[in-house]
Amino acid sequence: MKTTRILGIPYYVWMAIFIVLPLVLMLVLSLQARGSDDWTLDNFKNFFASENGMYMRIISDSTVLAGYSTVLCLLIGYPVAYFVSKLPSRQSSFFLIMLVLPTWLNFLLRTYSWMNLLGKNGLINKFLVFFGLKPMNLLYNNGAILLGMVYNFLPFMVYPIYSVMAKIKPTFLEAARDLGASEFQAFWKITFPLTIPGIITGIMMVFMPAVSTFVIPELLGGGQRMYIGNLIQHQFLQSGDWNMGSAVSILMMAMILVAMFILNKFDATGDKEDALW
Amino acid sequence: MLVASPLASCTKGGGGGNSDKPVLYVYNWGTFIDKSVNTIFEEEFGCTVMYETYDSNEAMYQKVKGSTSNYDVVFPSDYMVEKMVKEGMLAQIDKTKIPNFANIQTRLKGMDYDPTNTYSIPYFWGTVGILYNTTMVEEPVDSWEILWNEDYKGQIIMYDSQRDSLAVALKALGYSANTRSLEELKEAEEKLIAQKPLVMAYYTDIIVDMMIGEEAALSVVYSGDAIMAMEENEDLAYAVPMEGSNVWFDNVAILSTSKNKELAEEYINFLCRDDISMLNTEEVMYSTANKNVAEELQESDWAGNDTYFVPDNVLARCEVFLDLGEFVQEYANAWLRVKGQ
Amino acid sequence: MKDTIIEVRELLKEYGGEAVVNYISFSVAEGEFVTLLGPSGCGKTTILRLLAGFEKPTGGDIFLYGKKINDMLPFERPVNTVFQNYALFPHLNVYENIAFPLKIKKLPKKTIEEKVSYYLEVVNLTGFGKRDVESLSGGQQQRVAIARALANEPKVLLLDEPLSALDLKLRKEMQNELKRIQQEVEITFIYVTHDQEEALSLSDKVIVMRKGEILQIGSPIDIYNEPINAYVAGFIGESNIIDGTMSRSYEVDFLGKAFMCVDRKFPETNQVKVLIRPEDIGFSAIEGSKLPATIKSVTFKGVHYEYTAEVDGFIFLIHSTISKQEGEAVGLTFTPNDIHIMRAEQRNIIPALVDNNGHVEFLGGVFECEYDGEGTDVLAVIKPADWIIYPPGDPSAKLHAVIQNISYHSERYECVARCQDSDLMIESISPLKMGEVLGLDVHSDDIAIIRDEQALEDMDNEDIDEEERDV
Repeated sequence: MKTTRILGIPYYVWMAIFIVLPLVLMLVLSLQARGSDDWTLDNFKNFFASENGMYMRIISDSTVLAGYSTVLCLLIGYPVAYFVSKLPSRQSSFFLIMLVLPTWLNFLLRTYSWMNLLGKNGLINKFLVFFGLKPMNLLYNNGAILLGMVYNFLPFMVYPIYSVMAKIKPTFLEAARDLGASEFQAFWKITFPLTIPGIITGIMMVFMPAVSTFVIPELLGGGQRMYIGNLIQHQFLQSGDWNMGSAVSILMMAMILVAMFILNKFDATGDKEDALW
Repeated sequence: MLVASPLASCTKGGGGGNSDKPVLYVYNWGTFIDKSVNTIFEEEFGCTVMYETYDSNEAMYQKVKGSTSNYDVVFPSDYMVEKMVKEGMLAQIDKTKIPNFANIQTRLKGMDYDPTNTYSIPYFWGTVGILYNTTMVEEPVDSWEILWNEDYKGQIIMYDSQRDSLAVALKALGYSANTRSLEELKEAEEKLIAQKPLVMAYYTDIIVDMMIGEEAALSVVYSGDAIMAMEENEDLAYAVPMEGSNVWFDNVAILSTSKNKELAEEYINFLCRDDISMLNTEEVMYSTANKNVAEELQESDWAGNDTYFVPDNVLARCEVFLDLGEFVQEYANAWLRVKGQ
Repeated sequence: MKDTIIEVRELLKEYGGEAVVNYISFSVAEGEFVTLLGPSGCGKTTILRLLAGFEKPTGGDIFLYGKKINDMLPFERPVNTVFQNYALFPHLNVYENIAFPLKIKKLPKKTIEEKVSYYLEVVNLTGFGKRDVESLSGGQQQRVAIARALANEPKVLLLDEPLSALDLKLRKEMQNELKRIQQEVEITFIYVTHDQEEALSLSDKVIVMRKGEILQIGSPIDIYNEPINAYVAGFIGESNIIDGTMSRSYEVDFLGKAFMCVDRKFPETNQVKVLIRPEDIGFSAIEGSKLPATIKSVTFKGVHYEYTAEVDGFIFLIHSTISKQEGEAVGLTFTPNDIHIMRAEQRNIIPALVDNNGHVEFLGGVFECEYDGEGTDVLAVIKPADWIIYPPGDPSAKLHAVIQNISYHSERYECVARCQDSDLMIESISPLKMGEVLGLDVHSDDIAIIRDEQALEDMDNEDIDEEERDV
């Protein structure tokens, strides 16, 4: 007992320096006006009472965009995880490696590559023109942002779902089939409920980076709309208003915490009797 | 070689760092130096250069200010020099240590933001203007108003930085790019908001690549970027609109927190050396502050390039950004409202 | 005799050309407790999966009440399985697990409640409904699995090594439980195990399997007392197996003596194996004994002593409660009833030439084989049933043989056929005719290469050892 506590010390120190301290600093900054040491809630007031509700709109835009990305990742990722988990292990590990292979490249590089593919004179449009079709506007819109998000965050959805799915014993499904369930019933009543923890982890792992990313909207969206990530970046780097930037960051964290809390609630109810029938 | 005993001068200046070699921390704009220059410096002066880059004055300022960063040499633009001097962030440069200061063009010395060049030495300079594709834009480009022309909807790239973009709008409206009038700023903000539907994207560094790749017809760029783009794509042209624009100077300066000031001064002197200046100029393609290099280039195939050798009449209608003090917050807020709209 | 509920005919299941279940036929009567017994890899679990419908047979048919069910999906078959690792759904509690098949059937809630509580009672788990399945002990989980399968009210319950994950004490307890449950619900149980004791104590009928084939079907008592061959005898329990000859019924010669026995002579051969169980051997005075022996070793086993005793170079294994000393000279006795006669397994042993490139030549044909031993003069050992029979002149045939005589034994034909100057024993499931010319081939897996006759004996012993080790 004692030794475990001693062994934990470096970890506690690490946590204190790299997690707790920055958080406290941010909280302090968010509760002070720019260039003053007095405590105030002005930053938060400004946030909620901004002109035309700009901040609130940015938050809701970000949430909606992250929500769409998450739903898309789930809709694409779940079947992917399902089919990969059904493959023989050699093939499934091949597919999983293929899935993460792009992440070995630099994130910016990948995003730039998409710009090259989707641009007005990009590969896809060149292709269209070659076949006598009209080139399309593929970049600088929400579609491109969504594509970038799904592309970058899909592995975060597939992996947790795959890992719970791969652990489902085939005999569970055989038993369900044996006990009279159709293939669909077996999926819906056995596979799906058993993968809910993976789905929830996946949702969190995708939603969090999606709601805070600023590079993807900036590059693929042409920086035309501002999202939380861009707002925080603006406050810290362009405007130099660390106090407001901290306030926005704190609010974003609070939002994510609430989302996680709700999701966990949902996970817990999944275990309750008859919840899924 | 001018340097008599490089090793001695370096060990003397070495402060901190556990390695025997002194370390110089340089914080520069992206793509603002020839890659070999730091290596040459390291070899000649027996030291290590830690090199990092930024993409806006504000980003550099925020990182340098109040943080525990150990940068020695930075490259602030004009208004940023002014701001940093006011805030005591820059160290006085001992000009006796910079014999190569004599190589700097006289007309670039003693600008308003640092009249005696006590804190900064000009490095590169240039204008802000419109880079456009002559196959897509047939009419003459001589006014900022073309960026508000509905015909080019979805073909315009704006510069994603508060002062540069607001300067475009202010100049288009006939105001100073350093205005402290809230009304004028508000007008500029509304003008930029009105422009949003026409704008394809707000970018910084990658505008050059976008223009070379013919992704857009018109863009706001720095003259150096324009030269680089025009080298790659013959259909591109650059113009400084008649309403006037921003002329900017990027300078090299030493932070007051530098622990290695003597080595930093060696570095600045080194950058002003003709051969090093030439290397950087050929790589960066911005207008050089070095008169000998400029003269040499006048005889090269760059001769008569108005983008590079800014004509006096163009320079006359341009203004240098001034530090706006706390008022810059209004610019930041205006820009936030433009982008957040 | 009760009605036949399941009949399996010539069932074949191959994976990648390898027969895991090799033309198997058996039938199960309604209400019977039938056990498939064999070492792991003998195909018993595959048969269960074929019955459940998880696998499709490569050949042959499965009948339920005389109706062919080969193509029925698992959920259409009135058959349910209790899986080896229970396969309880971890996200459902005990009640929900048992209610699963009933909810699928969309029975009224009230009916479901009644049935679940009835089956909870059957498996002695009343009051456990709300419990999380993962919080239960292994034995309790096993009961839930049985209750869940029974709740679907199948005609046949398949149990795949259901007790193998339990510890010894629990296993004994669950054996009794299983028997009781089967009697209570009166459903046909088909049970798979590698544990001969479990098989003997639970079953009405035992099917002993080896390498995808049935060796023997019979009541536990039959199987124990009259094992069909040395392998079954060895698998079913410890035994002494002695080569013998039988030139007439009710008398067998072994160890140079003639003994009375209760078996009839096999018509086709005099060569037999004699089985005597260790517990059936008694001691007598050395004087006048027909089998004078010397005690070689003594091990006290708790209830009895285990002795080895030598008679003319043959080592007997003896279980007795009588105390003897090592080195003591004793006489061995047993009654005619204790002598069990088995048919010696028939094999063709053919002189052959082998090279190092995986080819073996005999009787003028060249065959592929696996052999990494030394020497080129070897013996090829081929079981009569392993011959592949072609019409004469078929290009695939490597040997040709003329049938000399034929005998028919329960659904198979045995014949002796002449190939060059050798007589080959050939077994076939399709009818053969006297004088017919057969084209023959044999699969490389079915050719065993040995160096001499001594190696043949070693091979037999190894065979049993190996499979027992698997278990």
